[in-house]
Amino acid sequence: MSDSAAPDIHTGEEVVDGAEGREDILQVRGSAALRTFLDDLRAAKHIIELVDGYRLCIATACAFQRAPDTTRTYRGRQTMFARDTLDTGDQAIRTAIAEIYPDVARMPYRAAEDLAEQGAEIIKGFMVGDNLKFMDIVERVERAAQEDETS
Amino acid sequence: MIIQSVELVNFGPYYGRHVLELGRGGHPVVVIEGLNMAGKTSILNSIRWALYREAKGRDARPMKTGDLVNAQAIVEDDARMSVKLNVVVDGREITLLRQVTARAGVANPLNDEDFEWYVSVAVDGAYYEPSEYDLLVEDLLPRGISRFFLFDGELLNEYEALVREGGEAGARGVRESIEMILGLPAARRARVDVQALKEEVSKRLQRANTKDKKYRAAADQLAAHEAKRDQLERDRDEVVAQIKADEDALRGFDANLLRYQETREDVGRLKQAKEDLERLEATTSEKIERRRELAKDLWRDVLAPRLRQETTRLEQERDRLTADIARLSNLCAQQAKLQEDLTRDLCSQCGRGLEEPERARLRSELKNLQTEISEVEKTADAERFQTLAGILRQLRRVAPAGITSAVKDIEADLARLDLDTYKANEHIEAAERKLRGIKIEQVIEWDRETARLNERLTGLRASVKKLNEELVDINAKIGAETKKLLDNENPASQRLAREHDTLEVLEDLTARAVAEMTDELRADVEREATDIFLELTTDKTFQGLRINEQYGLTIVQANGEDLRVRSAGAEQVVALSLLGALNRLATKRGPVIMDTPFGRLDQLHRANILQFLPRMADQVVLLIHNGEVDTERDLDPIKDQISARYEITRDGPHSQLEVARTELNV
Repeated sequence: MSDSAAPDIHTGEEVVDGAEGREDILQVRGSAALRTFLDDLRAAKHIIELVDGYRLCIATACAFQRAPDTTRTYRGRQTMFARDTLDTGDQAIRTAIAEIYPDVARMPYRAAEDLAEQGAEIIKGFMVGDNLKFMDIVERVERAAQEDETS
Repeated sequence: MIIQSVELVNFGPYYGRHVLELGRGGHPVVVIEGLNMAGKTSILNSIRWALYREAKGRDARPMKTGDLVNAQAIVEDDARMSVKLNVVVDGREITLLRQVTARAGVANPLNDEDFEWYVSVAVDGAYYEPSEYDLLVEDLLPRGISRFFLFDGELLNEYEALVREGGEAGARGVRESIEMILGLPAARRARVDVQALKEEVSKRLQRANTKDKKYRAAADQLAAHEAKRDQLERDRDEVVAQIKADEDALRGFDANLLRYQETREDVGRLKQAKEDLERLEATTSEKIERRRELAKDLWRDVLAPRLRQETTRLEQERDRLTADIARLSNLCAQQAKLQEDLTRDLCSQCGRGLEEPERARLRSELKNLQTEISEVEKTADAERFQTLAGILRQLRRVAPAGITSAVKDIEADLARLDLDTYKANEHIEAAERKLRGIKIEQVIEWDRETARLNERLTGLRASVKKLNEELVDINAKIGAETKKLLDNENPASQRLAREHDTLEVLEDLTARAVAEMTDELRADVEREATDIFLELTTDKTFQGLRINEQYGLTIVQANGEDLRVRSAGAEQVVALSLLGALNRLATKRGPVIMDTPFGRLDQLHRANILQFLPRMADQVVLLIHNGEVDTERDLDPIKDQISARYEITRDGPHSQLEVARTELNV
């Protein structure tokens, strides 16, 4: 299954199996709830494409110090994007997840799926009806980071 | 005409039924006192409304019917308003009643069409047809001259401005009103009648000479000229009638537009609010679009703090490793050196052979070093050091987008736009609420018609001028041909010639009589106004007043020259003098109802005017507040001339107005 393997970003070795004996994924998925949430964000004109919202959800979960659980399952999960669609150019998502969460460094996209689901729940908490202020999220994250730095 | 009583029901600020007995007591003056905004003007308006179906607000703007109905009555779902006037004219008792009731189903009745209208008129107890109401009122007190009987301080301003500025339409309007009150139109009709008789004689002269060969040409020519004159007169009369119709229509449109001035302003506000909303929505859409574009990369900025934390942690670990690796290297070097010394059995410092105690010491040092090296080796992970370098390199590649401040600015703008949009919608809603039931297209149509009529009137007036010039021409030709025929010595022509001459003389006499009458009346006005003015003014150096052709009055100073610049108070005194003179000379006698006429006058002038008032008309009703008149001091000199005093009071801030008689002097 070499075409599903990804090179280790540090050593360049190809990873055939994940740490738990599971592979990383080529297509990232989303639960029914996540898809609905992203559709609503687009309908409310907060995002242009669903993938923009998906990335934001991942980043939000990371920023809020959530840990990914690659074994967790979600209802109604369906393929949403190819991982190259999600993580274009500099593969920043893969790099960030692998470095922040070394335990899942071999399956960063599987981890990204779970982080996206968690991030969606966090963002929902910032919404008032259809209204969402991105700055509420950004400022909360920055405030938490500053508190960490000073402690 | 004397107003015996005024009965108001739900009129203006007066809730329920209120009766003012103005005619009892037999003295000319009735005083009604109240504070500002306490309902005095409403009493004047009630009389105006009963007579002419109009009431005036600020700046003489017509008020809408709905604004006249008492608010409390509307709240209690009893939007019914009426005014009944009982008047006495030449011994006849006349009762005029005008009433409106809001139509069923109209939630906020405001305009005339929102109400059902009812009038009734009775003379000495006998009811007339409602259709005769306006005719009877016009006979009692023509609307055209009512301004000289029902007036307030603002209407005084109107007179002063019209006459002083001398604008064509404005001056003509006041002049016509004044000439109407003096009865001049009737005198002018006499002259027209004589002219008609003369034309008839001229026609008979022409017919009498058509069979005479010698004079046939002149007769034919005369006939032709007369036919042309008749045509020109018909044309002119047609144009004049059209002008009158257009002016009437224009007045109607102007009145409607004035009544709907607020509507027009509201339409303007609505249009502006809608344009504002459109602009806000366009700006909001742009900002939302920009925000969505920025949202593509915002995830990087959201992630950035977490990455920064990780980077810091890893850098700290790297620094620790660096220190450990350096220490290990140092310890290993020391170990190597000691081992070399022991192997060579030589001290590397002094180069001498080692003795046993020295050897033992070196062995002990080496043992300690080895223990320390074992400890440091556990943490001096060179492989981890290399890995960290790689991780840090990767982390630094995940750069933030740096768009946070742009997103912040846009979201702040969107919040402001949201508020502005809310306010714009409120404005639109408020304007639409005010305009509900009003046909905006109708108002726009009136505007258009007004512009069209004004343009047409300019053309029509020019036509009249041209036709009059042609008439002068043709009349001269008629005169010349007539003169030829008058030279015919046959008996019929001579008889007609004598009739013609008589009528010419009569026409001339009539014209001179009318001119003299006009001059005399104007002089009478000047004399009466001067009399009154000298009684009212406190400046005893003034000689009097001088009148011009528009019935404007100027003050003549001691040196005989006109006073060019007049104070506001002087203007008011002059205007009151004219009004007093007109009331004395009028062919119609009516009550004078004055609403706060003393606003710009000092105490001495007020005292003079108050003393004069009982002689101004058969009935004078004064609506005053105690800021303009000290009712105890200023009214004392005329207290025997005061029939009754009323006071308008309010029990508390939310209670209704009451007007109650405080004094009756029978």
